[in-house]
Amino acid sequence: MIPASKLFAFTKRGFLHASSYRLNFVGTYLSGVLVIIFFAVLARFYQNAQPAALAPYGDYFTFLLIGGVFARYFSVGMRHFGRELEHELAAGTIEPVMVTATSPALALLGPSLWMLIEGLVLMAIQFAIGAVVFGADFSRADWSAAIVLSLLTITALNGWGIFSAAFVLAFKRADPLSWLVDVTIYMLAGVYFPVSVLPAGLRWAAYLLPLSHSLEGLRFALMRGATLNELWPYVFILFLFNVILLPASLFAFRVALNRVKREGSLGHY
Amino acid sequence: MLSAITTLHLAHNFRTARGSVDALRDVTLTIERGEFFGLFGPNGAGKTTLIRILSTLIIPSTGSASVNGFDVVREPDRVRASIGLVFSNENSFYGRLTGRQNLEFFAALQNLSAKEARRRTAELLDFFNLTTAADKPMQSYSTGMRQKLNVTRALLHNPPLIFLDEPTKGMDVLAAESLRSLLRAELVGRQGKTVLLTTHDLQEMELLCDRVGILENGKLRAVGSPADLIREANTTVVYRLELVGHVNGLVDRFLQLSTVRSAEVVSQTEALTILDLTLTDSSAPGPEVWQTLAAQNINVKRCAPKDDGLVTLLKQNSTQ
Repeated sequence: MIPASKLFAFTKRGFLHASSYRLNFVGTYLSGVLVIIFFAVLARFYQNAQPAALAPYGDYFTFLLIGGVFARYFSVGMRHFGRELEHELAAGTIEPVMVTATSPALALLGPSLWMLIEGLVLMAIQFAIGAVVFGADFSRADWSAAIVLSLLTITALNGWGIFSAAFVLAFKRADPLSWLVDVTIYMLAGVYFPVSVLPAGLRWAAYLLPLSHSLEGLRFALMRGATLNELWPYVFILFLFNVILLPASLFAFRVALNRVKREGSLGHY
Repeated sequence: MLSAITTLHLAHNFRTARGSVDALRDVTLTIERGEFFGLFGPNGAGKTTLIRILSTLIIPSTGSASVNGFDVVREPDRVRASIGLVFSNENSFYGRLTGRQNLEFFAALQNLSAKEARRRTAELLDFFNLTTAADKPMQSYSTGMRQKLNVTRALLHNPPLIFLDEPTKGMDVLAAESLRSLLRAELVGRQGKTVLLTTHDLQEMELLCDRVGILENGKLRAVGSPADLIREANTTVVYRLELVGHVNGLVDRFLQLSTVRSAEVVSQTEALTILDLTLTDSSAPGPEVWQTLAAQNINVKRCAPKDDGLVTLLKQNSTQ
């Protein structure tokens, strides 16, 4: 069991560090708001030319808001472990943390906690602005189904993030395939348009990604009020991704840690 | 009573792109509780590797080690909870956080409650005269202040054993002197902690340590009090013999001679055997050595005093 005091210490440390870069800190939230404005403009632009594939969901702005906001958060979830670990290695702080009475897994993954929490805060702000200022329609939303799908997605994508951390630990540089994350999220996973409009080959590829199922399920939950009972295929698929990704990534992480401890290269960068 | 540190045939081998490097070779050592023990040796001798193994940052290739009664490979969590490590790298803090914020963060990782972390941090900052700078960002600290904070961090959870990896590296003379007297008087003198210090500063070794281990090329060459080691260095002469052919059984014969303290084959091929002979006095090898060689029809290609870097260093820098 991880003590709450240590989770709090990592979160506080992350907040203090992030907020010490004031312009960057403010910029993160400002860009989060600007994205919502961009979605509103885009939705208005296509107001009279929406494809039939959007019909099952509802209005395009709410569709974009859910896709864009969740995709950003999940993208952070997929990459932050590796990135934060890389920062710690560059700063020379990983070894001092690793010799404390803290488990190696928490010592290496804890630095990312603030990023996850900040992402949640930003997501809440974006949804609030989307609903209050731009009229996103969540009147039929089933929030409990959305929360379950979100949690399953976050844990599944954190599995990818742990793979990325294992890569950084072993090879000292961020995962060279991280660009693939953005491409797959924004092109294939249905952020700007439903997966159903993709050509057949790409549609198959899209359904190999947990995010495609997640965004589709979340839109049905938040826009049409679909319940967990109705969304069980999405829950099942995301659960399967968890069962595969999490143990595999933790195994890879353990192997990488063991390797650097034998090589004596834990603190190298 | 359990020893603070025990190592048994400890060895570590680093694999590199060009092959492997023996960083530590067959190190067997015991350090008792309350002892201020120094590891002395040149750069690359294996001092830091040994400390990293003992603090669970490196898994040894072979051999075993226990710290405060816990095995470093099987019980790393318990080892870490019972040690404090002072890094030689001054950049081991979060530069944009203040000294106090850094210490409170590390205190939480050492299982101190928030209240206890605040109290202990304030107490140690005061002790190390860092209270005035405590709420300034770490990146504005001088090298001396960072090293003091480094020591402070190692003491947060009040561990019985402290590792100091070249703690005065990069510090000016006065700051280094102030830290040394504090380490000796406070850590060992008043708090009774065990300290393992690595240094290549001979004066530091003499001033601080009860006992010293001399590491060279990953091997523990000698262990003793600084005074004994320096005395020994002044009376010991090592001769290097280059003998023609592949010679067997000579070491045992040499060890039977009263004038020979130790004999070691350094390298051996079919054409040449190189052997180091440590004599009990400072004179050249006596007739009994030559008689032993002649009795076996061994031709000597070369015989000269060995330039032993460490012994020379001990002789040159001795304050006695």
